[in-house]
Amino acid sequence: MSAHSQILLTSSEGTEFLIDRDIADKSMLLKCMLEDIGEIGQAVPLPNVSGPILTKVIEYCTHHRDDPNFLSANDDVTADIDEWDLEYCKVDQGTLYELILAANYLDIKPLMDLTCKTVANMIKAKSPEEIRKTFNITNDFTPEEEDQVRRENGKDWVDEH
Amino acid sequence: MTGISDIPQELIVMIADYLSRKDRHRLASTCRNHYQALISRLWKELYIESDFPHFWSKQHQIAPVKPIITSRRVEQHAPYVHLLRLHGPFQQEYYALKFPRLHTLIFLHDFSFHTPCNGAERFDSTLDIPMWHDVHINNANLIRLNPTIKNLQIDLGRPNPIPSASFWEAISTTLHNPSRLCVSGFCPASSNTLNSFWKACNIFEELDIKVDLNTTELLSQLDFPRLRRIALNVVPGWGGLKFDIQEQLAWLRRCHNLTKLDWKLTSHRLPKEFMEALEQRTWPHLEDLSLGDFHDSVDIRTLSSRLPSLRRFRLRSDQFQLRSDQVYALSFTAFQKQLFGKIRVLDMAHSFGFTSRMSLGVLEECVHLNEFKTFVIDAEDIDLESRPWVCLNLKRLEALIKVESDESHEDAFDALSRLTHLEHLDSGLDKLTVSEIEKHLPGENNYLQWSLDSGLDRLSTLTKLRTIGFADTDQEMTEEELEWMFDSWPLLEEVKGEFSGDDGYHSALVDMLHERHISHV
Repeated sequence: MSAHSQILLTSSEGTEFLIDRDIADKSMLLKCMLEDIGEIGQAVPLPNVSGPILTKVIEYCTHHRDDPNFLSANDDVTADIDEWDLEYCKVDQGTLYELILAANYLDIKPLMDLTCKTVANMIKAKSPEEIRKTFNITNDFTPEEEDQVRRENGKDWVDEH
Repeated sequence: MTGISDIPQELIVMIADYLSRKDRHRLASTCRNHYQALISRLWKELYIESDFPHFWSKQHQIAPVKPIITSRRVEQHAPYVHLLRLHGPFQQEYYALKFPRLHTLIFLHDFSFHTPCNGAERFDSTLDIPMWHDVHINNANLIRLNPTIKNLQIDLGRPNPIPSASFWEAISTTLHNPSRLCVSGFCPASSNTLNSFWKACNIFEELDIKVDLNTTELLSQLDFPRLRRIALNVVPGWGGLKFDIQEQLAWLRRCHNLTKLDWKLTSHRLPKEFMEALEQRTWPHLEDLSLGDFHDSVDIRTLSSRLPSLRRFRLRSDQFQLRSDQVYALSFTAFQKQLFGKIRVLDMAHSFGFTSRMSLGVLEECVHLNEFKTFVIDAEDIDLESRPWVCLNLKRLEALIKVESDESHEDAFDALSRLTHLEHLDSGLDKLTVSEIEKHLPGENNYLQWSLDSGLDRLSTLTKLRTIGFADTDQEMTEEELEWMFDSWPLLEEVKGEFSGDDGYHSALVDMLHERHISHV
């Protein structure tokens, strides 16, 4: 097959996206599907991904299309986030969550790492009360339950690995 | 970022993989939904400390009883538990639990716990001996109920009472897929117990033994078919028992498949038979070798010329000496030839004869090095123009860095600034004892100053730094240095050492770290 072949994707609301095969291949889901069934000539429906989110995902894959370490670069989950990626994640929380779900569904590990790390950084080193404030979480524990949770799992752990 | 919304339930578990255990726990403590989503992760590693009376020797009183996770709650969550760490003796019902996925079990015996009598606040020490005897029976029962255990760690703390033969038999007859056994702090007195101990050892792939042992004829009849990794430290202690160096070596020589050997020979010399064994390639797969704490002088040339090509090497010998410059050249050549090609981890921090020049030789030649611990680097010896450092993948460097002048400060920071993958940098003196410092660093006190005036700003390239250390090296740091560190090293999570000779100022700077959630040791 030619390196420049193109794939048609349909988002949940039916919008069509024509993208290059090498960009589609960043998604393990699409890559395996295309390898299994070959060129299908018709649109691949993505009922779990909305148009705006798919646009965002394609933007990510396009930016990283020539990245030789695309799959191995982010093995270290504590590693730094680069500048373009940092800018890319400056979206509202709802979009961020949808991106995580899309990255998970389409199986794009680096995008999954990036988006999860971004949310994780908002949680890191915060007290439960601060986390509740950041994410608008209502504390529905009874005082007894809260105490039990703290006691049972809040020990000073031996070593963090 | 705009908009605030609750994290969708299905994402909690995905995101939890990117959090530390502490952060994961804090997220789970926010509400019921999040707790439920993370429940299997929260209970995966369970650490329980006993609620038995705890003698607090400082105050000569019983410490207040701590609340404990009830055995019923443990039982309810048993299917989630992969690692269980039991600290102290417990009521019997804790030893009757089945954990279907348990792979690691740790018994940590702590003799500051005592038998409860007439309420948990009091104790009667005469009841302790039978209680500790029962603990071994209980431990054996717990093992029998949990055949999935792969890794077993038993830290007994002191010699009596010791686990009997039946405890070791529970191990050798129960476990389906044993991997690692780690035992410390006991001496099996009877030959019956000793034989059962070795039979238990015989089923594992990895042994970490720190005990006082006697010899037994049984040992030569066991063939340790799965054994790959050994850490052996026969502590001559309580019983005056004898499993001497030659007998240890005879056993080790029969274990041909070793990939890792960590051998501590306290108060002994490295036997010439060990050199022979190395020369005869007794362990053809060996790639990780640690030799430690022997007190005779070891000829580096003899040892290094016999070393196989290792990935990890650690040597502790305070007598590790070089007799002359000529020997140095020859020895170092041998060392270079045998080790430098493949070595990933090198620890010479307690080999005081390993000179600054040799340390620099390592940094100048070991391309694959990931971790390097050495005694000292003298910045005067650094010459990046003719001898640049090549170990650009280095992640950990621990060395005392001696600096005499402003110029050598610049050289030191310049050299360090090129190690851009460095995550841990420690130039502290705290790894040495007072007598070691007096003996090997007489009258010295000019060490690397972590200050911007001395050229610290060159280290802005080390963006991956996570821990730094400079303990006991007389620093005079200010808020300015700290602010600079926060800006330059975003991943910094731990700092070890005193910022200033002024205690009050030091504490103020420590507070600045804590505000940033950076820990201070």
